[in-house]
Amino acid sequence: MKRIIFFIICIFFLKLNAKAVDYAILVSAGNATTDDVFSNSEYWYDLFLAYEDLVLNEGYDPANVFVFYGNGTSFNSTRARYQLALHGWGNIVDFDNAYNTLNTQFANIGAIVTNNDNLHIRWVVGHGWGNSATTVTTPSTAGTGRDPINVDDYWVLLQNRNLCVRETEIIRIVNQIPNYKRRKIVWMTCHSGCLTGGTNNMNNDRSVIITASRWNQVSSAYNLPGETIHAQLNYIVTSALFGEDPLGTAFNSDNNGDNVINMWELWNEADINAIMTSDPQLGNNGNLANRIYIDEHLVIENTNINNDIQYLVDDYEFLNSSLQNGSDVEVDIDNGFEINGTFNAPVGTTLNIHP
Amino acid sequence: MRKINHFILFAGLCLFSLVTMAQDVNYEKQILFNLPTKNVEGICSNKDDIYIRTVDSLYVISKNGKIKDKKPTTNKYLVFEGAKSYSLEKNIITDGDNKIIIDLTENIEKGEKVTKYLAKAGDSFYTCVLDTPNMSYSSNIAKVIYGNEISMFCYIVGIPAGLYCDGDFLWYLYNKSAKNKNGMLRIYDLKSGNLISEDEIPVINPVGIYVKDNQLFTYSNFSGEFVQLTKGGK
Repeated sequence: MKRIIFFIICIFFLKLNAKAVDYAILVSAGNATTDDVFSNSEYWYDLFLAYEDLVLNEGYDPANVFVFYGNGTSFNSTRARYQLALHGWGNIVDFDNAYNTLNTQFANIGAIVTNNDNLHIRWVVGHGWGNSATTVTTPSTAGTGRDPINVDDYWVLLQNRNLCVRETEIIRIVNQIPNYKRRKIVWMTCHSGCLTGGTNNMNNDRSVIITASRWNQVSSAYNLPGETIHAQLNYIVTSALFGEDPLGTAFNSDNNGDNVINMWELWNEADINAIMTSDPQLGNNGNLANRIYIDEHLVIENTNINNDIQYLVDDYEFLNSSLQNGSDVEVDIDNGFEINGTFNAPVGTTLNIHP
Repeated sequence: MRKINHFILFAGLCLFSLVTMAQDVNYEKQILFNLPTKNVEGICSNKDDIYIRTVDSLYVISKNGKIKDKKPTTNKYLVFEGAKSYSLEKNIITDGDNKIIIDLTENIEKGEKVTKYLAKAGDSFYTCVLDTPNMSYSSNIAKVIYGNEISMFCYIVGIPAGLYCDGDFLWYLYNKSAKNKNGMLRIYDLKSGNLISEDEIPVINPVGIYVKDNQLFTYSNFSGEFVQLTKGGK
């Protein structure tokens, strides 16, 4: 008999380290004032969708999702899809997006996140530009922006405050959270590729960053037919993670057939998707992007894996799944591993679990 | 207890009005005349004449709505300053004698951008710099000074539909992404670039704007009406 077939119910249960906490920070660098308006309404729409995905789909505790938006109050959209009542939520916004608020609260969050925790940061919507003509330090009033002259010439704009913040300063603010096990960043502005290269960037061996465009490229919006306006990157990234777009249409960006989306697949979908007019960048040192996930508690459900795949997550579960002959699955787990329901791993497959 | 409740209600209403920038402002709308076109690209005025440009024609209309002249024209955005006139065409600003004042070609066309609408205040022109065909987040209202010095005044919101400047403020008219909706009007402080107000106006698909004697004038590409708006009316 060439195959050894396991029919197992809860045959394997492994518990390791103290449970990590998954923190997320969402920053929307503007304030929606009305519906269906380019460069305005997305500040709320794309934030709402990102929050919805984290809380409803990725398993994040709302208490650990810190939302910075506008004046600190949720937008009262006329579109039912973007109303808090859709999910029975109260105000999902924790803080306004003032420079001082960002600076103070990132420091406060930095005081609670440990090396055992995971961190997801998403600069959901914003403008980015260069400002090489000035030596002004941060923050400064907007009004002299130009295209960057190099990869380290990058500013972000807090649009509702008419205030821009230099790259070195925004990196300093973000790095006030120095402790984390894995940091997963998604950054949507024009010229956001500046954060993946040059002297000033957000790369390190624990971080992966996806940006909307190259350092010398602008980013654009997408008017979803039959729906409304979104930033291109957000439409793709959030739809890919959620598994469907804002209209409820299925959206599949799985590249390796395991039905879960790692950071490389997320970037790849943005890179190849037909609606994208810029070139999203992937910044990380080492082979990390194709191993880590915004969801740290993966459930591989009703799936037949037929690839060599690596995972680096807190929790991993096979549920009614199997490995095809020749596949090699490496799982680095920090917390728990489970196999539930049926599981089929024929001779010739490799399943390595690394605590 | 009732007083406390009233105070909470009042505070809530104040907060709501602060966080909701787009105000529901009443405008008195007066239809001045109709034109048999829904392809207007821009409007402006000089003395008592109104200039309405479509994709291929320029109407000169008296204030009572009588068409004084209609002639073929190219894709020019016009603005008047006293007796002087200026136009924007293919990223080049010229004066009334067709003399080139500012050539933005090199600055603008590197990124396949185009300029639309033209406003003037003192030594500065204002125009919308747009990426085509994409809705790029780099699209902006640019300030252009004699000598080709160009800088960003502010980023674009919505779909641009008109600009007007009076030396202190910049009026920016735009449309929503959804079709056949009322237009939106922003007013910026010219010196600081700060947004002063944002109002919805009771004109569907408006295009072009100018301000005269505290009255707003615009054209509806939905109804074919040239309208006058008085803020604060009913």
